[in-house]
Amino acid sequence: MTNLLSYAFMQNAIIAAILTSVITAIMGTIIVEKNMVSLSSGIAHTSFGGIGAGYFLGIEPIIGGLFFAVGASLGANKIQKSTGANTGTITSMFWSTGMALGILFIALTPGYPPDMMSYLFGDILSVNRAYLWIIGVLTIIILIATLSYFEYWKLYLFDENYAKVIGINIKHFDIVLYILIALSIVILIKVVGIILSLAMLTMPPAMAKMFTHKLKNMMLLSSLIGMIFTLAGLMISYYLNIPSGASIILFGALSYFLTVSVKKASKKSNT
Amino acid sequence: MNVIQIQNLHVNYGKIQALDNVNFNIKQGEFLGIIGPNGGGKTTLIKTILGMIEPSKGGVTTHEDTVIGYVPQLTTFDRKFPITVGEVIKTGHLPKRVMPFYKYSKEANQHVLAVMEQLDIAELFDRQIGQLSGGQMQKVLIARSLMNHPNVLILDEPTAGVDEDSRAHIFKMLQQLNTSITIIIISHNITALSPYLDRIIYINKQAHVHSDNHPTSGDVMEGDMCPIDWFIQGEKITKNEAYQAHDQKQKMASGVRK
Ligand SMILES: Nc1ncnc2c1ncn2[C@@H]1O[C@H](COP(=O)(O)OP(=O)(O)OP(=O)(O)O)[C@@H](O)[C@H]1O
Ligand SMILES: [Mg+2]
Repeated sequence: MTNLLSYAFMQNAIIAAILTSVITAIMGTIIVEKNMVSLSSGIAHTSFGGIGAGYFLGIEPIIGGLFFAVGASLGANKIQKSTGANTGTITSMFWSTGMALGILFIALTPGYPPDMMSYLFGDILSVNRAYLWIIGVLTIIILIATLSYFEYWKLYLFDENYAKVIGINIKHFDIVLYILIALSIVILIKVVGIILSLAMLTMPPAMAKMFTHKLKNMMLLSSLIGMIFTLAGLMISYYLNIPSGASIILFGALSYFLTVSVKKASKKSNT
Repeated sequence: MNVIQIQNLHVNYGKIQALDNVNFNIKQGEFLGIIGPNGGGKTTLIKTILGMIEPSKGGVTTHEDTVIGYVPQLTTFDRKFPITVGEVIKTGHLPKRVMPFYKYSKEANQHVLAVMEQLDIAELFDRQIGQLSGGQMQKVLIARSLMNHPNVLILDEPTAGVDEDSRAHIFKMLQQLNTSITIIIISHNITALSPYLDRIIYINKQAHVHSDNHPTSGDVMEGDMCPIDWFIQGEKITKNEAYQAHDQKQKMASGVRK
Protein backbone atom coordinates (compact mmCIF):
# COMPACT_ATOMS: atom_id res chain seq x y z
CA MET A 1 0.00 0.00 0.00
CA THR A 2 2.72 2.49 1.00
CA ASN A 3 4.85 1.81 -2.03
CA LEU A 4 1.72 2.00 -4.18
CA LEU A 5 1.22 5.58 -3.00
CA SER A 6 4.81 6.43 -3.81
CA TYR A 7 4.11 6.17 -7.52
CA ALA A 8 3.50 9.62 -8.99
CA PHE A 9 0.79 8.30 -11.34
CA MET A 10 -1.08 6.86 -8.34
CA GLN A 11 -0.85 10.13 -6.38
CA ASN A 12 -2.20 12.00 -9.39
CA ALA A 13 -4.98 9.47 -9.83
CA ILE A 14 -6.03 9.81 -6.19
CA ILE A 15 -6.09 13.62 -6.34
CA ALA A 16 -8.03 13.42 -9.62
CA ALA A 17 -10.49 11.00 -8.04
CA ILE A 18 -11.12 13.30 -5.08
CA LEU A 19 -11.59 16.42 -7.22
CA THR A 20 -13.79 14.53 -9.66
CA SER A 21 -15.95 13.40 -6.76
CA VAL A 22 -16.48 16.97 -5.61
CA ILE A 23 -17.33 18.18 -9.13
CA THR A 24 -19.73 15.35 -9.86
CA ALA A 25 -21.38 15.60 -6.44
CA ILE A 26 -22.34 19.25 -6.90
CA MET A 27 -23.15 19.14 -10.61
CA GLY A 28 -24.77 15.71 -10.29
CA THR A 29 -27.10 16.83 -7.50
CA ILE A 30 -28.17 19.79 -9.62
CA ILE A 31 -28.58 17.67 -12.76
CA VAL A 32 -30.61 15.02 -10.97
CA GLU A 33 -32.87 17.51 -9.21
CA LYS A 34 -33.42 19.63 -12.31
CA ASN A 35 -34.30 16.53 -14.36
CA MET A 36 -31.37 17.10 -16.68
CA VAL A 37 -29.86 13.63 -16.69
CA SER A 38 -30.81 12.82 -20.27
CA LEU A 39 -29.78 16.28 -21.41
CA SER A 40 -26.39 15.79 -19.75
CA SER A 41 -25.81 12.47 -21.41
CA GLY A 42 -26.79 14.14 -24.67
CA ILE A 43 -24.15 16.80 -24.08
CA ALA A 44 -21.55 14.19 -23.17
CA HIS A 45 -22.13 12.19 -26.32
CA THR A 46 -22.30 15.27 -28.51
CA SER A 47 -18.82 16.21 -27.34
CA PHE A 48 -17.63 12.99 -28.95
CA GLY A 49 -18.24 14.74 -32.26
CA GLY A 50 -15.99 17.58 -31.14
CA ILE A 51 -13.28 15.18 -30.09
CA GLY A 52 -13.35 13.67 -33.57
CA ALA A 53 -13.29 17.16 -35.09
CA GLY A 54 -10.26 17.96 -32.92
CA TYR A 55 -8.34 15.02 -34.34
CA PHE A 56 -9.39 15.91 -37.85
CA LEU A 57 -8.32 19.54 -37.51
CA GLY A 58 -5.19 18.63 -35.59
CA ILE A 59 -6.07 20.56 -32.43
CA GLU A 60 -6.37 19.22 -28.87
CA PRO A 61 -9.43 16.91 -29.07
CA ILE A 62 -10.72 18.05 -25.68
CA ILE A 63 -10.92 21.64 -26.94
CA GLY A 64 -13.03 20.42 -29.87
CA GLY A 65 -15.18 18.49 -27.41
CA LEU A 66 -15.59 21.60 -25.30
CA PHE A 67 -16.93 23.64 -28.23
CA PHE A 68 -19.39 20.91 -29.14
CA ALA A 69 -20.53 20.44 -25.54
CA VAL A 70 -21.13 24.13 -24.87
CA GLY A 71 -22.81 24.50 -28.25
CA ALA A 72 -25.05 21.50 -27.61
CA SER A 73 -26.07 22.59 -24.14
CA LEU A 74 -26.88 26.18 -25.12
CA GLY A 75 -28.45 25.03 -28.38
CA ALA A 76 -30.67 22.43 -26.73
CA ASN A 77 -31.85 25.04 -24.24
CA LYS A 78 -32.64 27.52 -27.00
CA ILE A 79 -34.43 25.03 -29.25
CA GLN A 80 -36.45 23.72 -26.34
CA LYS A 81 -37.52 27.21 -25.24
CA SER A 82 -38.41 28.44 -28.72
CA THR A 83 -40.14 25.35 -30.11
CA GLY A 84 -41.37 23.78 -26.88
CA ALA A 85 -40.18 20.43 -28.27
CA ASN A 86 -39.69 17.53 -25.92
CA THR A 87 -36.25 17.59 -24.24
CA GLY A 88 -35.81 13.87 -24.85
CA THR A 89 -36.29 14.30 -28.58
CA ILE A 90 -33.79 17.14 -28.84
CA THR A 91 -31.33 15.28 -26.66
CA SER A 92 -31.33 12.12 -28.74
CA MET A 93 -30.94 14.18 -31.90
CA PHE A 94 -27.83 15.91 -30.53
CA TRP A 95 -26.59 12.64 -29.08
CA SER A 96 -26.75 10.65 -32.32
CA THR A 97 -25.58 13.51 -34.51
CA GLY A 98 -22.57 14.09 -32.24
CA MET A 99 -21.55 10.44 -32.23
CA ALA A 100 -22.02 10.18 -36.00
CA LEU A 101 -19.89 13.28 -36.58
CA GLY A 102 -17.22 11.88 -34.27
CA ILE A 103 -16.98 8.66 -36.23
CA LEU A 104 -17.07 10.52 -39.54
CA PHE A 105 -14.23 12.87 -38.55
CA ILE A 106 -12.10 9.99 -37.30
CA ALA A 107 -12.64 8.11 -40.54
CA LEU A 108 -11.65 11.21 -42.51
CA THR A 109 -8.52 11.76 -40.43
CA PRO A 110 -5.51 10.36 -42.27
CA GLY A 111 -3.20 7.93 -40.54
CA TYR A 112 -3.61 5.47 -37.71
CA PRO A 113 -7.01 5.90 -35.91
CA PRO A 114 -6.76 7.21 -32.32
CA ASP A 115 -7.96 5.10 -29.39
CA MET A 116 -11.53 6.32 -28.97
CA MET A 117 -12.09 3.75 -26.25
CA SER A 118 -10.17 5.99 -23.86
CA TYR A 119 -12.78 8.70 -24.38
CA LEU A 120 -15.59 6.35 -23.51
CA PHE A 121 -14.03 5.06 -20.31
CA GLY A 122 -11.20 7.51 -19.64
CA ASP A 123 -7.91 6.67 -18.05
CA ILE A 124 -7.54 8.05 -14.58
CA LEU A 125 -4.07 6.51 -14.21
CA SER A 126 -2.70 8.66 -17.02
CA VAL A 127 -3.72 12.03 -15.55
CA ASN A 128 -0.69 14.30 -15.28
CA ARG A 129 0.12 17.27 -13.04
CA ALA A 130 -0.87 19.87 -15.63
CA TYR A 131 -4.26 18.31 -16.08
CA LEU A 132 -4.72 18.13 -12.31
CA TRP A 133 -4.45 21.91 -12.30
CA ILE A 134 -7.21 22.17 -14.88
CA ILE A 135 -9.46 19.94 -12.78
CA GLY A 136 -8.55 21.92 -9.67
CA VAL A 137 -9.47 25.25 -11.24
CA LEU A 138 -12.79 23.83 -12.44
CA THR A 139 -13.52 22.55 -8.93
CA ILE A 140 -12.91 26.00 -7.50
CA ILE A 141 -15.10 27.68 -10.14
CA ILE A 142 -17.95 25.28 -9.42
CA LEU A 143 -17.60 25.68 -5.66
CA ILE A 144 -17.68 29.47 -5.91
CA ALA A 145 -20.58 29.54 -8.39
CA THR A 146 -22.76 27.27 -6.30
CA LEU A 147 -21.86 28.23 -2.74
CA SER A 148 -21.99 31.98 -3.26
CA TYR A 149 -25.54 31.87 -4.62
CA PHE A 150 -26.67 28.80 -2.74
CA GLU A 151 -30.03 30.13 -1.52
CA TYR A 152 -30.87 31.25 -5.07
CA TRP A 153 -29.84 27.91 -6.54
CA LYS A 154 -32.18 26.25 -4.08
CA LEU A 155 -35.12 28.30 -5.31
CA TYR A 156 -34.06 27.98 -8.96
CA LEU A 157 -33.95 24.20 -8.69
CA PHE A 158 -37.08 23.79 -6.61
CA ASP A 159 -39.42 26.33 -8.18
CA GLU A 160 -37.98 28.39 -11.00
CA ASN A 161 -41.37 29.88 -11.88
CA TYR A 162 -41.78 31.33 -8.43
CA ALA A 163 -38.44 33.08 -8.72
CA LYS A 164 -39.71 34.69 -11.92
CA VAL A 165 -42.99 35.70 -10.28
CA ILE A 166 -41.32 37.47 -7.38
CA GLY A 167 -39.10 39.23 -9.87
CA ILE A 168 -35.75 37.57 -9.26
CA ASN A 169 -33.76 37.62 -12.45
CA ILE A 170 -32.55 34.05 -12.74
CA LYS A 171 -32.13 34.03 -16.49
CA HIS A 172 -28.35 33.92 -16.16
CA PHE A 173 -28.64 30.90 -13.84
CA ASP A 174 -29.72 28.89 -16.88
CA ILE A 175 -26.70 29.93 -18.89
CA VAL A 176 -24.23 29.50 -16.02
CA LEU A 177 -25.65 26.06 -15.32
CA TYR A 178 -25.46 24.92 -18.95
CA ILE A 179 -21.89 26.11 -19.29
CA LEU A 180 -20.84 24.49 -16.01
CA ILE A 181 -22.41 21.20 -17.07
CA ALA A 182 -20.62 21.29 -20.42
CA LEU A 183 -17.29 22.24 -18.82
CA SER A 184 -17.56 19.54 -16.17
CA ILE A 185 -18.44 16.81 -18.61
CA VAL A 186 -15.68 17.63 -21.05
CA ILE A 187 -13.01 17.93 -18.41
CA LEU A 188 -14.15 14.69 -16.80
CA ILE A 189 -14.13 12.86 -20.13
CA LYS A 190 -10.36 12.87 -20.16
CA VAL A 191 -10.24 11.53 -16.61
CA VAL A 192 -13.06 9.05 -16.38
CA GLY A 193 -14.59 8.98 -19.88
CA ILE A 194 -18.06 9.77 -21.16
CA ILE A 195 -19.70 6.74 -19.60
CA LEU A 196 -18.10 6.96 -16.18
CA SER A 197 -18.69 10.70 -15.92
CA LEU A 198 -22.41 10.08 -16.41
CA ALA A 199 -22.34 7.31 -13.81
CA MET A 200 -20.53 9.60 -11.38
CA LEU A 201 -23.03 12.39 -11.99
CA THR A 202 -26.00 10.20 -11.14
CA MET A 203 -25.08 7.33 -8.81
CA PRO A 204 -23.67 9.22 -5.79
CA PRO A 205 -26.54 11.79 -5.70
CA ALA A 206 -29.14 9.04 -6.05
CA MET A 207 -27.56 7.19 -3.16
CA ALA A 208 -27.12 10.32 -1.03
CA LYS A 209 -30.78 11.19 -1.46
CA MET A 210 -31.73 8.06 0.44
CA PHE A 211 -30.15 9.50 3.57
CA THR A 212 -30.93 13.20 3.55
CA HIS A 213 -33.59 15.69 2.57
CA LYS A 214 -31.47 18.81 2.38
CA LEU A 215 -29.82 19.98 -0.80
CA LYS A 216 -26.54 20.93 0.89
CA ASN A 217 -26.28 17.60 2.69
CA MET A 218 -27.04 15.80 -0.53
CA MET A 219 -24.06 17.50 -2.17
CA LEU A 220 -21.75 16.81 0.79
CA LEU A 221 -22.77 13.19 1.10
CA SER A 222 -22.49 12.69 -2.67
CA SER A 223 -18.87 13.89 -2.59
CA LEU A 224 -18.10 11.42 0.14
CA ILE A 225 -19.80 8.57 -1.67
CA GLY A 226 -18.06 9.55 -4.92
CA MET A 227 -14.67 9.45 -3.18
CA ILE A 228 -15.39 6.01 -1.78
CA PHE A 229 -16.46 4.75 -5.23
CA THR A 230 -13.45 6.13 -7.08
CA LEU A 231 -10.80 5.27 -4.49
CA ALA A 232 -12.15 1.78 -3.88
CA GLY A 233 -12.48 1.30 -7.63
CA LEU A 234 -8.87 2.38 -8.11
CA MET A 235 -7.59 -0.09 -5.51
CA ILE A 236 -9.65 -2.92 -6.98
CA SER A 237 -8.38 -2.05 -10.43
CA TYR A 238 -4.79 -2.09 -9.22
CA TYR A 239 -4.93 -5.35 -7.33
CA LEU A 240 -7.14 -7.29 -9.73
CA ASN A 241 -5.46 -5.73 -12.74
CA ILE A 242 -8.70 -4.70 -14.45
CA PRO A 243 -9.54 -1.35 -16.16
CA SER A 244 -10.14 1.37 -13.56
CA GLY A 245 -13.22 2.84 -15.31
CA ALA A 246 -15.01 -0.48 -15.19
CA SER A 247 -14.06 -1.24 -11.59
CA ILE A 248 -15.26 2.19 -10.38
CA ILE A 249 -18.63 1.87 -12.13
CA LEU A 250 -19.17 -1.72 -11.05
CA PHE A 251 -18.20 -1.01 -7.45
CA GLY A 252 -20.58 2.00 -7.46
CA ALA A 253 -23.46 0.08 -8.98
CA LEU A 254 -22.99 -2.77 -6.52
CA SER A 255 -22.96 -0.38 -3.55
CA TYR A 256 -26.05 1.36 -4.87
CA PHE A 257 -28.07 -1.82 -5.21
CA LEU A 258 -26.87 -3.11 -1.84
CA THR A 259 -27.96 0.14 -0.19
CA VAL A 260 -31.35 0.04 -1.89
CA SER A 261 -31.95 -3.54 -0.69
CA VAL A 262 -30.79 -2.84 2.85
CA LYS A 263 -33.02 0.27 2.97
CA LYS A 264 -35.97 -1.70 1.70
CA ALA A 265 -35.42 -4.53 4.15
CA SER A 266 -35.11 -2.17 7.11
CA LYS A 267 -38.26 -0.33 6.03
CA LYS A 268 -40.15 -3.60 5.96
CA SER A 269 -38.94 -4.68 9.41
CA ASN A 270 -39.97 -1.27 10.77
CA THR A 271 -43.57 -1.55 9.70
CA MET B 1 -59.79 51.88 -5.70
CA ASN B 2 -58.83 49.30 -8.31
CA VAL B 3 -55.65 47.36 -7.60
CA ILE B 4 -55.77 45.55 -10.94
CA GLN B 5 -57.48 46.55 -14.18
CA ILE B 6 -57.95 44.07 -16.97
CA GLN B 7 -58.86 45.63 -20.28
CA ASN B 8 -59.60 44.12 -23.63
CA LEU B 9 -57.40 41.15 -22.74
CA HIS B 10 -56.72 38.53 -25.40
CA VAL B 11 -54.32 35.63 -24.88
CA ASN B 12 -53.40 33.02 -27.46
CA TYR B 13 -51.18 29.96 -27.27
CA GLY B 14 -50.23 29.63 -30.89
CA LYS B 15 -53.54 29.02 -32.61
CA ILE B 16 -55.41 28.21 -29.40
CA GLN B 17 -57.37 31.15 -28.10
CA ALA B 18 -57.36 30.96 -24.31
CA LEU B 19 -58.86 34.36 -23.42
CA ASP B 20 -61.07 36.43 -25.67
CA ASN B 21 -61.67 40.04 -24.71
CA VAL B 22 -61.73 39.86 -20.94
CA ASN B 23 -62.61 43.04 -19.06
CA PHE B 24 -62.98 43.57 -15.34
CA ASN B 25 -61.40 45.35 -12.42
CA ILE B 26 -60.27 44.03 -9.08
CA LYS B 27 -60.99 46.30 -6.15
CA GLN B 28 -58.79 46.82 -3.17
CA GLY B 29 -59.81 44.61 -0.26
CA GLU B 30 -62.14 42.33 -2.14
CA PHE B 31 -62.29 38.56 -1.90
CA LEU B 32 -62.75 37.46 -5.48
CA GLY B 33 -63.57 33.95 -6.64
CA ILE B 34 -62.70 32.75 -10.15
CA ILE B 35 -64.57 29.74 -11.44
CA GLY B 36 -64.99 28.06 -14.80
CA PRO B 37 -64.65 24.77 -16.64
CA ASN B 38 -61.36 22.92 -17.13
CA GLY B 39 -59.43 24.65 -19.86
CA GLY B 40 -61.58 27.76 -19.45
CA GLY B 41 -58.55 30.00 -19.06
CA LYS B 42 -58.40 30.59 -15.30
CA THR B 43 -54.74 29.76 -14.89
CA THR B 44 -53.95 31.65 -18.06
CA LEU B 45 -55.69 34.72 -16.64
CA ILE B 46 -53.70 34.77 -13.42
CA LYS B 47 -50.44 33.98 -15.17
CA THR B 48 -51.09 37.01 -17.33
CA ILE B 49 -51.78 39.12 -14.25
CA LEU B 50 -48.49 37.85 -12.79
CA GLY B 51 -46.62 38.76 -15.97
CA MET B 52 -45.65 35.17 -16.76
CA ILE B 53 -47.58 35.28 -20.05
CA GLU B 54 -47.65 38.12 -22.59
CA PRO B 55 -51.11 39.08 -23.81
CA SER B 56 -51.61 39.09 -27.56
CA LYS B 57 -53.88 42.11 -27.27
CA GLY B 58 -55.01 44.42 -24.48
CA GLY B 59 -53.52 44.03 -21.06
CA VAL B 60 -53.36 44.20 -17.33
CA THR B 61 -52.61 47.35 -15.38
CA THR B 62 -51.64 47.05 -11.74
CA HIS B 63 -51.70 49.93 -9.30
CA GLU B 64 -48.17 51.14 -8.60
CA ASP B 65 -48.23 50.09 -4.93
CA THR B 66 -49.36 46.58 -5.73
CA VAL B 67 -47.25 43.73 -4.37
CA ILE B 68 -48.59 40.38 -5.50
CA GLY B 69 -48.22 37.12 -3.58
CA TYR B 70 -48.75 33.91 -5.53
CA VAL B 71 -49.73 30.40 -4.50
CA PRO B 72 -49.28 28.13 -7.53
CA GLN B 73 -51.27 25.03 -8.38
CA LEU B 74 -49.98 22.13 -6.27
CA THR B 75 -49.63 19.77 -9.22
CA THR B 76 -46.60 21.63 -10.53
CA PHE B 77 -44.29 20.51 -7.71
CA ASP B 78 -41.75 17.76 -7.35
CA ARG B 79 -42.58 16.69 -3.82
CA LYS B 80 -39.43 14.56 -3.58
CA PHE B 81 -37.14 17.58 -3.89
CA PRO B 82 -34.65 17.65 -1.00
CA ILE B 83 -35.88 20.76 0.77
CA THR B 84 -37.54 21.36 4.14
CA VAL B 85 -40.64 23.40 4.94
CA GLY B 86 -38.59 26.11 6.63
CA GLU B 87 -36.30 26.41 3.62
CA VAL B 88 -39.23 26.68 1.19
CA ILE B 89 -40.89 29.45 3.14
CA LYS B 90 -37.64 31.38 3.55
CA THR B 91 -37.10 31.58 -0.21
CA GLY B 92 -39.99 34.04 -0.24
CA HIS B 93 -37.63 36.47 1.50
CA LEU B 94 -34.88 36.36 -1.14
CA PRO B 95 -34.07 39.87 -2.39
CA LYS B 96 -34.90 40.55 -6.03
CA ARG B 97 -31.39 41.71 -6.73
CA VAL B 98 -29.33 38.53 -6.66
CA MET B 99 -26.72 38.91 -3.92
CA PRO B 100 -23.69 36.67 -3.38
CA PHE B 101 -23.42 34.84 -0.06
CA TYR B 102 -26.89 36.02 0.92
CA LYS B 103 -27.85 35.08 4.46
CA TYR B 104 -31.39 35.55 5.78
CA SER B 105 -31.55 38.28 8.37
CA LYS B 106 -32.75 37.73 11.93
CA GLU B 107 -35.92 39.66 11.09
CA ALA B 108 -36.57 37.42 8.09
CA ASN B 109 -36.19 34.29 10.20
CA GLN B 110 -38.51 35.71 12.84
CA HIS B 111 -41.04 36.66 10.19
CA VAL B 112 -40.98 33.07 8.89
CA LEU B 113 -41.65 31.71 12.38
CA ALA B 114 -44.39 34.25 13.09
CA VAL B 115 -46.27 33.46 9.87
CA MET B 116 -45.87 29.71 10.43
CA GLU B 117 -47.29 30.22 13.92
CA GLN B 118 -50.18 32.21 12.47
CA LEU B 119 -50.98 29.50 9.93
CA ASP B 120 -50.64 26.78 12.54
CA ILE B 121 -47.76 24.95 10.84
CA ALA B 122 -44.88 25.89 13.16
CA GLU B 123 -44.18 22.27 14.08
CA LEU B 124 -43.54 21.38 10.43
CA PHE B 125 -40.41 23.55 10.15
CA ASP B 126 -37.88 20.73 9.64
CA ARG B 127 -40.07 18.36 7.64
CA GLN B 128 -39.14 17.42 4.11
CA ILE B 129 -41.98 18.62 1.85
CA GLY B 130 -42.64 15.07 0.61
CA GLN B 131 -43.86 14.20 4.11
CA LEU B 132 -46.74 16.70 4.13
CA SER B 133 -50.42 16.26 3.45
CA GLY B 134 -51.99 18.26 0.63
CA GLY B 135 -53.50 20.75 3.04
CA GLN B 136 -50.24 21.24 4.92
CA MET B 137 -48.35 21.80 1.67
CA GLN B 138 -50.90 24.44 0.66
CA LYS B 139 -50.38 26.26 3.92
CA VAL B 140 -46.63 26.15 3.38
CA LEU B 141 -47.07 27.75 -0.05
CA ILE B 142 -49.41 30.36 1.42
CA ALA B 143 -46.82 31.13 4.10
CA ARG B 144 -44.14 31.54 1.42
CA SER B 145 -46.37 33.88 -0.58
CA LEU B 146 -46.78 36.11 2.47
CA MET B 147 -43.06 36.68 2.95
CA ASN B 148 -42.80 39.72 0.72
CA HIS B 149 -45.76 41.43 2.44
CA PRO B 150 -48.18 41.31 -0.50
CA ASN B 151 -51.34 43.42 -0.65
CA VAL B 152 -52.82 41.14 -3.31
CA LEU B 153 -52.77 37.37 -2.92
CA ILE B 154 -53.53 35.10 -5.87
CA LEU B 155 -54.20 31.41 -5.25
CA ASP B 156 -54.62 28.75 -7.96
CA GLU B 157 -56.90 25.99 -6.61
CA PRO B 158 -55.52 25.96 -3.07
CA THR B 159 -58.06 23.35 -1.97
CA ALA B 160 -57.69 20.76 -4.71
CA GLY B 161 -56.92 17.42 -3.07
CA VAL B 162 -57.50 18.82 0.41
CA ASP B 163 -59.99 17.24 2.83
CA GLU B 164 -63.06 19.15 4.03
CA ASP B 165 -61.72 20.12 7.44
CA SER B 166 -58.44 21.55 6.15
CA ARG B 167 -60.37 23.24 3.37
CA ALA B 168 -62.56 25.07 5.86
CA HIS B 169 -59.43 25.95 7.82
CA ILE B 170 -57.72 27.37 4.75
CA PHE B 171 -60.79 29.43 3.80
CA LYS B 172 -61.04 30.85 7.33
CA MET B 173 -57.37 31.68 7.26
CA LEU B 174 -57.80 33.49 3.96
CA GLN B 175 -60.77 35.37 5.38
CA GLN B 176 -58.56 36.59 8.20
CA LEU B 177 -55.86 37.65 5.77
CA ASN B 178 -58.53 39.41 3.73
CA THR B 179 -58.85 42.09 6.42
CA SER B 180 -55.66 43.61 5.00
CA ILE B 181 -55.05 41.79 1.70
CA THR B 182 -57.02 41.58 -1.54
CA ILE B 183 -57.58 37.91 -2.35
CA ILE B 184 -58.14 36.30 -5.73
CA ILE B 185 -58.83 32.60 -5.61
CA ILE B 186 -59.44 30.02 -8.32
CA SER B 187 -61.63 27.22 -7.12
CA HIS B 188 -63.82 24.43 -8.38
CA ASN B 189 -65.73 24.27 -5.15
CA ILE B 190 -67.90 27.32 -5.08
CA THR B 191 -70.46 26.02 -2.54
CA ALA B 192 -67.89 25.79 0.23
CA LEU B 193 -66.18 29.02 -0.77
CA SER B 194 -69.16 31.28 -1.48
CA PRO B 195 -69.83 32.41 2.11
CA TYR B 196 -66.43 34.10 2.08
CA LEU B 197 -66.56 35.68 -1.34
CA ASP B 198 -67.48 39.22 -2.33
CA ARG B 199 -67.75 38.47 -6.00
CA ILE B 200 -67.48 35.61 -8.45
CA ILE B 201 -66.11 35.72 -11.96
CA TYR B 202 -66.84 32.92 -14.35
CA ILE B 203 -64.15 32.43 -16.99
CA ASN B 204 -64.74 30.48 -20.15
CA LYS B 205 -62.60 32.27 -22.73
CA GLN B 206 -64.65 35.31 -21.81
CA ALA B 207 -65.35 36.67 -18.35
CA HIS B 208 -68.79 36.85 -16.82
CA VAL B 209 -69.14 38.74 -13.61
CA HIS B 210 -71.62 37.36 -11.11
CA SER B 211 -72.66 40.58 -9.45
CA ASP B 212 -74.95 39.20 -6.78
CA ASN B 213 -72.98 40.55 -3.85
CA HIS B 214 -72.20 43.81 -5.59
CA PRO B 215 -75.31 44.75 -7.50
CA THR B 216 -74.02 48.24 -8.22
CA SER B 217 -70.65 47.26 -9.64
CA GLY B 218 -70.58 48.42 -13.22
CA ASP B 219 -67.65 46.29 -14.20
CA VAL B 220 -69.21 44.14 -16.85
CA MET B 221 -68.24 45.77 -20.08
CA GLU B 222 -68.65 42.89 -22.43
CA GLY B 223 -69.98 39.36 -22.44
CA ASP B 224 -73.19 37.98 -21.11
CA MET B 225 -74.31 36.79 -17.74
CA CYS B 226 -72.51 34.54 -15.31
CA PRO B 227 -74.01 31.04 -15.48
CA ILE B 228 -74.81 31.36 -11.78
CA ASP B 229 -77.09 34.32 -12.42
CA TRP B 230 -78.52 32.31 -15.22
CA PHE B 231 -79.22 29.41 -12.90
CA ILE B 232 -80.93 31.75 -10.46
CA GLN B 233 -82.99 33.67 -12.97
CA GLY B 234 -83.85 30.92 -15.39
CA GLU B 235 -84.80 28.33 -12.87
CA LYS B 236 -85.97 30.54 -10.03
CA ILE B 237 -83.73 28.91 -7.45
CA THR B 238 -81.77 30.39 -4.57
CA LYS B 239 -78.16 31.43 -4.79
CA ASN B 240 -77.04 28.43 -2.74
CA GLU B 241 -78.92 26.00 -4.90
CA ALA B 242 -77.28 27.57 -7.92
CA TYR B 243 -73.83 27.09 -6.42
CA GLN B 244 -74.62 23.48 -5.66
CA ALA B 245 -75.87 22.96 -9.21
CA HIS B 246 -72.63 24.46 -10.50
CA ASP B 247 -70.47 22.23 -8.31
CA GLN B 248 -72.49 19.17 -9.22
CA LYS B 249 -72.02 19.90 -12.88
CA GLN B 250 -68.26 20.35 -12.34
CA LYS B 251 -68.04 17.09 -10.44
CA MET B 252 -69.87 15.22 -13.16
CA ALA B 253 -67.70 16.75 -15.83
CA SER B 254 -64.51 15.70 -14.07
CA GLY B 255 -66.01 12.28 -13.33
CA VAL B 256 -66.59 11.67 -17.02
CA ARG B 257 -63.01 12.80 -17.68
CA LYS B 258 -61.61 10.18 -15.33
N1 LIG C 1 -48.70 26.14 -22.30
C1 LIG C 1 -49.78 26.00 -23.07
N2 LIG C 1 -49.65 25.79 -24.41
C2 LIG C 1 -50.73 25.66 -25.20
N3 LIG C 1 -51.98 25.73 -24.78
C3 LIG C 1 -52.20 25.96 -23.48
C4 LIG C 1 -51.11 26.10 -22.54
N4 LIG C 1 -51.62 26.31 -21.32
C5 LIG C 1 -52.96 26.30 -21.47
N5 LIG C 1 -53.31 26.09 -22.76
C6 LIG C 1 -54.69 26.04 -23.30
O1 LIG C 1 -55.34 27.24 -22.95
C7 LIG C 1 -56.65 26.99 -22.51
C8 LIG C 1 -56.83 27.52 -21.09
O2 LIG C 1 -56.03 26.77 -20.18
P1 LIG C 1 -55.91 27.11 -18.63
O3 LIG C 1 -54.83 26.26 -18.06
O4 LIG C 1 -55.81 28.56 -18.45
O5 LIG C 1 -57.34 26.59 -18.10
P2 LIG C 1 -57.87 26.49 -16.58
O6 LIG C 1 -59.15 27.22 -16.57
O7 LIG C 1 -56.85 26.89 -15.60
O8 LIG C 1 -58.18 24.93 -16.48
P3 LIG C 1 -58.12 23.92 -15.20
O9 LIG C 1 -59.41 24.09 -14.48
O10 LIG C 1 -58.05 22.58 -15.85
O11 LIG C 1 -56.90 24.25 -14.38
C9 LIG C 1 -56.87 25.49 -22.66
O12 LIG C 1 -57.51 25.27 -23.90
C10 LIG C 1 -55.48 24.92 -22.67
O13 LIG C 1 -55.45 23.76 -23.43
MG1 LIG D 1 -55.71 25.82 -14.01
